[in-house]
Amino acid sequence: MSSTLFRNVSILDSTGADPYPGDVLVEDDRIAAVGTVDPARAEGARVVEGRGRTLMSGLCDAHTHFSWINSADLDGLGTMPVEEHLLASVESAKTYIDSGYTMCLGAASAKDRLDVVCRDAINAGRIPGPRYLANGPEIAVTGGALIKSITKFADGPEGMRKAVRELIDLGVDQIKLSMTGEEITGTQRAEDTYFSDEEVAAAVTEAHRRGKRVCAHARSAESVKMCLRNGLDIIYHASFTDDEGLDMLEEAKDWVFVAPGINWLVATLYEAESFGFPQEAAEAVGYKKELETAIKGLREMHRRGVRILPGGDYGFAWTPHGTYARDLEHFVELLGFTPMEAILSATALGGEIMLRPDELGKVQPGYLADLILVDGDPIADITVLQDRDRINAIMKDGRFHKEPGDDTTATAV
Amino acid sequence: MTLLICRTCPRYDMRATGTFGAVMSAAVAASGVAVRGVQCLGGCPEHGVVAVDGPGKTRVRFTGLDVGDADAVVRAARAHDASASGSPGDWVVPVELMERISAVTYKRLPL
Repeated sequence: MSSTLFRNVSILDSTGADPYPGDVLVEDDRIAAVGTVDPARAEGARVVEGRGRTLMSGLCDAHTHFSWINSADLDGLGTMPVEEHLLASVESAKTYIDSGYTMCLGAASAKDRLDVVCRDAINAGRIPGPRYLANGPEIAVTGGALIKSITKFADGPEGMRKAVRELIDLGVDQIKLSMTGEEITGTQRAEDTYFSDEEVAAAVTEAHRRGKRVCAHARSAESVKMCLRNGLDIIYHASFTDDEGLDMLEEAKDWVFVAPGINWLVATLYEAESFGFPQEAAEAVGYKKELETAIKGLREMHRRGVRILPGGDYGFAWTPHGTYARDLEHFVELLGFTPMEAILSATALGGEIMLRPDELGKVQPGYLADLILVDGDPIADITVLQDRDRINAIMKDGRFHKEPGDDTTATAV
Repeated sequence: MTLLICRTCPRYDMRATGTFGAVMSAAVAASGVAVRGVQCLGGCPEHGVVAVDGPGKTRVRFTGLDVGDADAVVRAARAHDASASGSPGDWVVPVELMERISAVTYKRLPL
């Protein structure tokens, strides 16, 4: 048995309790003890001297695209040869775990099996990466695709059932429906809804029948309500949720997740000029209105106890991989979360959305040892999680992906 | 005060990536300005990117910098920190950086 003792750390356990000083013992892939560790049990363990640094769960990104590769050319995602594309996707997976993210939920793959292959390679230990729930290409109806070259088209209930079956056959963990437009396309409006109730119902029913969940690109008010009416599991964006939708979300808060991808809106509105999309253009097509409407709705969802997770559609040129923790800053500064609430969303709720609430997302005995050692206090300054140099160690399954450094280790006697 | 420095500039040059962040961080190290090394600030076509930011304050990004701009960057960080909103106009942007602003990110809330 291998064991590691984190000694004198500030334990941010993601139960909601304030961080407290103590020790954490990891045995093999699990957390064995938290707080006060029996010295006899820790005998022979490798010791990491925490020196008051924060030990917390690895983070979760609930809206991940390994195969979005920091490109400003979205159509290029479809034309890029699969060999190069897989290599770039593998790099994305590594960037996630390098950034302290140990849980990711795939929100669509640019080609059929990129996500699935990356997930399997991570699970086999062939490449570094977070725990991953893989997706396939997003399903859109004719005339409703955001990027045609990376879309799986289906129409009508029978078409949806067939598309879902084909994706499940590829080995995906969840299905993605692209239900509304996106202003940057220039043709597909965010407030337009392209799916019908019958199509959503068919896709959800078929996926659930096979034990798979469904997520959706759903910006319009109608699409959010359509998701909820039909039991769709994970709603992305939800920018224009109206009062009726808020009531429905509150009623469904025990089973639905919302992941707004808020950084996409912020960065597309203010920070994309270097890639040819200046703020004036973004405002003209509606991103300022969408951001302000989304903030208002998300603050209300938060007030009502809806489960909102960070996960920001990273992987576009102006929302590059590796900047994932900026979402947590937005949760605090824009959505009114306390830093603790933002961290709970990225950890404890991460365990829930990964379908392993009793194993992932908390520093508790029996949980899987997916941990990060942070040089700083994320409760005092949530932005510290954006600085990879301040994440001194990263552990997944009880093994260090990032070693804490020789100067901090010894052997317990 | 927080100065964000890109740690991957120039992002698209795999042999040189990261050099800007290392050099700029070293150049401002003695200033006392709090530096946050971030993966990328999204101003890549004009590499050499930093931003000044702070809780509740407007983030202002500068691009196309090199180590010779370190002194101006420090002055910008201090002036931004001393301002109430962080928005340009509320503080004096060093003249050397006036043309280097490539993004102004407001943390505005709906009315």
